[in-house]
Amino acid sequence: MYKKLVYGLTALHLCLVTAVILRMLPLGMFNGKMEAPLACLTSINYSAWRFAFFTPDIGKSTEIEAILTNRSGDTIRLSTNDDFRFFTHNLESENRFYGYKVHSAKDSMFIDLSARSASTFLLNEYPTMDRITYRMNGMIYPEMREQRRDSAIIEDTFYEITFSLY
Amino acid sequence: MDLLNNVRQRFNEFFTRPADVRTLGLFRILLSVFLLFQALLWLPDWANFLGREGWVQWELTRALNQFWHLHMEVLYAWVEPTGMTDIQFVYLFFWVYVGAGLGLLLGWYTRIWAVIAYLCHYVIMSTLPTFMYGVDIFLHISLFYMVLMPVGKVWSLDARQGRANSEPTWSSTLSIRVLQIHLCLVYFSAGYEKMAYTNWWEGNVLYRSMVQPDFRQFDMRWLAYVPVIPMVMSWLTMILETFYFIGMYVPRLRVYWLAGMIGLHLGIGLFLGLYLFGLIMIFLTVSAFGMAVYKDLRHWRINTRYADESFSLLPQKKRSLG
Repeated sequence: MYKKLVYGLTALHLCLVTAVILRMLPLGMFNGKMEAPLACLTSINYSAWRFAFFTPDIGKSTEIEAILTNRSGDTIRLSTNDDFRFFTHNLESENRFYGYKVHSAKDSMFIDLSARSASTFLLNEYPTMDRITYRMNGMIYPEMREQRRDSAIIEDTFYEITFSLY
Repeated sequence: MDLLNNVRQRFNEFFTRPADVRTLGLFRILLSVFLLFQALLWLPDWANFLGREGWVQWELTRALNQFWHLHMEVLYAWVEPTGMTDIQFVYLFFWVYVGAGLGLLLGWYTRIWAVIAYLCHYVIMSTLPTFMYGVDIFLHISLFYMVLMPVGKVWSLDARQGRANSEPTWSSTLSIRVLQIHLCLVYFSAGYEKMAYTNWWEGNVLYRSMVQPDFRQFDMRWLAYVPVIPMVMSWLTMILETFYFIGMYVPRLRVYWLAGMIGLHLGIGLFLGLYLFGLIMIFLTVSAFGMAVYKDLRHWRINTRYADESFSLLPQKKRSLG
């Protein structure tokens, strides 16, 4: 009985993984009544996780720029495009900000909250600064053909907010 | 009818014929080494990621949680009355996580440490939803499997001290197959989805991923003038991933396939800077199919040796043209 139960649960698990990974389930299932159960299952074992595998976002990126100033006129400019590494100690910690940039750019409320959170962090890192402008730039990189024609990177600021302590 | 019976028999054999339990031991050791290595790399930045006043504060990440998540703040609320500060708690949590990884590595009361490691990772995933990427997802899946699978059967203190039986059982065979099938599905989907994009066939995705700042390790813009290189690399990637499920089940061919997969993930580490992602994928593939490849290599060596001996020792038949 126990053995049958284990085989049955395993079959169910593998069927779900197959259906989700191979996109056999209708997209509506992930937004409708099944959204919560599938999200719960995903948090447990990622059996209902839709992998992206470098497909849709490549060639586009979101870069963060922070400009800290104070009343004496000092300015510090930090940009992820110019090797600003979020004060991380190694490349692996820095890699985590790829997810952060993608996540925070997805949702207008979350973008506000995460901008506030990161700005607070940066103002604490630079106690002499009292004003910060937090900017997010969308970048599109040229394909090989365009690169051969010396096409430039397309850059556009899609979010900007300033926080001030005075 | 014969064909149907044959398929059914093969299917049953695949899931029931005793498989080498060392696969599960290898899985446990490689993944717990990975857990410990990743944790140590994370240590200098641990509080900045998981602390109350980290990059994304607890207040915000908790708002993203659903009721089934287990946030660090919830755990801290339980110990706060003892007078422990949030920073002390965050580091205590780190050492419990590392301890669980060590327990798993040694295979000492394996199941208990697997549950603790999994729960710790569940808390990390709940607390840091915005900072997670593929490497964490694959580690989470692996820890989930380690809770359920008999991974302490070999190369463990449990086996040495008589708490685990090293004989293959139906559950060990089933576990190995689940691990292998899950990987085959992941790779098949990864390869086949890439094939749907013209950009992958032309090599543009590979090129752009190497030049955009998120992943850029070297200045690779020169590749735009030799487009055949990214194009061939893309084709190889798609072939290796899509047909992984065939390559890994054909004796001998899987030796080359495994080498190809290791090369692919080393490339991801070296050129895209995703070292840990490359490493966990290598460890998973080696765990799932490493023992089979090892056996292939041994048979190969033995057969080659016999072939050599027969060439030199057996009396040679005289040949004549007439």
